[in-house]
Amino acid sequence: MPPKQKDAIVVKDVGIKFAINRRRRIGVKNLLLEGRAAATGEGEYWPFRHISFRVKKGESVGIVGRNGCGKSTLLRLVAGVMLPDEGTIQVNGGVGAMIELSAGFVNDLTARENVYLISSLHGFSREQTDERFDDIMRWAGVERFVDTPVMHFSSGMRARLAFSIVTRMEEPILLVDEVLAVGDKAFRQKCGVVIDGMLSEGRTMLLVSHNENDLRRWCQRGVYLRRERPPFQGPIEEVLEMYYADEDRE
Amino acid sequence: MPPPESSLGLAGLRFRRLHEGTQIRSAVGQPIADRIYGIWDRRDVLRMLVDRGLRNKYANSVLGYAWSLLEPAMLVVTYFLLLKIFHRSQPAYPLFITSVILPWQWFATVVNSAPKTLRQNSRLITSIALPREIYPLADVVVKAVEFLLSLPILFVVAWIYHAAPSRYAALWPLALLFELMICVGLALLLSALNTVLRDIERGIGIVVRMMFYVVPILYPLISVTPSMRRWESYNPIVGILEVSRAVWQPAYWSGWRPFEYSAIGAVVILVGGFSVFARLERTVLKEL
Repeated sequence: MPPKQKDAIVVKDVGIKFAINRRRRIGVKNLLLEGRAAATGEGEYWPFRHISFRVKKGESVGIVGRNGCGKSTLLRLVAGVMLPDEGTIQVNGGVGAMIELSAGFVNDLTARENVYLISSLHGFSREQTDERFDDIMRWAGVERFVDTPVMHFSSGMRARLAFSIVTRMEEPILLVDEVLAVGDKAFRQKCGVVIDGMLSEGRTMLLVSHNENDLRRWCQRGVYLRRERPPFQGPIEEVLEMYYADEDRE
Repeated sequence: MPPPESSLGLAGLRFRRLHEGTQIRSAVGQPIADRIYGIWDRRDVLRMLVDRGLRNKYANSVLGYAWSLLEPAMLVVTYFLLLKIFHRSQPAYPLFITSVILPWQWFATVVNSAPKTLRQNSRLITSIALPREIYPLADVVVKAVEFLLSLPILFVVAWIYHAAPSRYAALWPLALLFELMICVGLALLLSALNTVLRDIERGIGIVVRMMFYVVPILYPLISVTPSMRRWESYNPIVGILEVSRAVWQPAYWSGWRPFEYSAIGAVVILVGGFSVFARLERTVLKEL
């Protein structure tokens, strides 16, 4: 009997708040005892609250919504590089996050050093990175700049290198935020082929995008984040329909 | 013949451990024990960051490791000359200074650089989920290694003055352990606070420089008035310096009181550092 399949991502009643004022009053007592910088109540902003959804293993889910509705923040929470102020997020398996194009590049290190640094942060040994190093560089098309500090890279080169590294981490869960939107057509097509390949291997993907072609191409389901109302979830077609209907009404 | 990808995948499974399992990101804080286990689980990353820190230190410099010896040596020479001018010399003054200035430098460099560790690594922190404590911890370990590398200076000076370790040498490892605990606690505390209170990285240098004259480095603790001595003893660093000095010059030992405060201080600062860090983490991640 096959083992019971756990969901890849379970988001339960999640919310996050930010301080509105940059120049808020900081009480040292508050900081040390409560662990927060802002005074209570006023000056808080919740981009979203009480968000719940699940992503099954091997499923691909798209997140849509207007600018500022918290899509990217939600992805960061799933990636674990931010923490929710309410609720819990359970992630079963390693995460490869393409949230920023930089993939965490350290600017004054060379491309080679960055690849080894990021790979080791993902838990790869030196030898394992050696094995895939040439592949990573070749796919990114930056073989000639292996020992150039990444601060001299164009944004396209960075994007290609970042994508190349993260996709070769072989993490079972992929988080993608809009990154495909920046590149030129050739780059987008190349990325598309790689994502197709990974999804066919059974990886799970959570995608934030404004590009309906991408959403239709990869996602079976969608989550539509809306202000003041719980998110609408369903098949991607219905979600997009709902989203565009709301947009047109504005 | 199997495709190369699958063999890579299998090799990967052997190396990659628990962080591949279920991870929970929750509004409720994790128990400290779980957090420490999380750090232990990713000690490979810690080792890598320490390696990077040490390599950076000696990159692009001709003298390289010699700097680790030269810096404290120059400090000792400076204070030796300064005190010669003021005629406040103790017997074997260079040894008197060296035995405490090396542990002090470890503490001072940690406190000076720790506040910036989270901000300097913000790109990694905001793109890869790792226990955030690792970044200040790595900095403390780098400074500890530099301290160990500077110890030959101390042994050479002791040899020149024909000093043999006293029975207080047995306490020295314990004193250094306390110092490590204090450094870790302060590094966690300061790095987290500094992301919301940027004044810390500016102000801490002044505080450390002032503290240099308040702790018994240039003078022995037994030479100050009893009430001053009591106040100075509350500083947990003082007991560590007292032990470090008594290892070579036991005549300066002023009693157990400062070392007792060091023990208490080490535990309080370490636990305090971890818990404040855990409480502040949520805010820190929004600020980076």
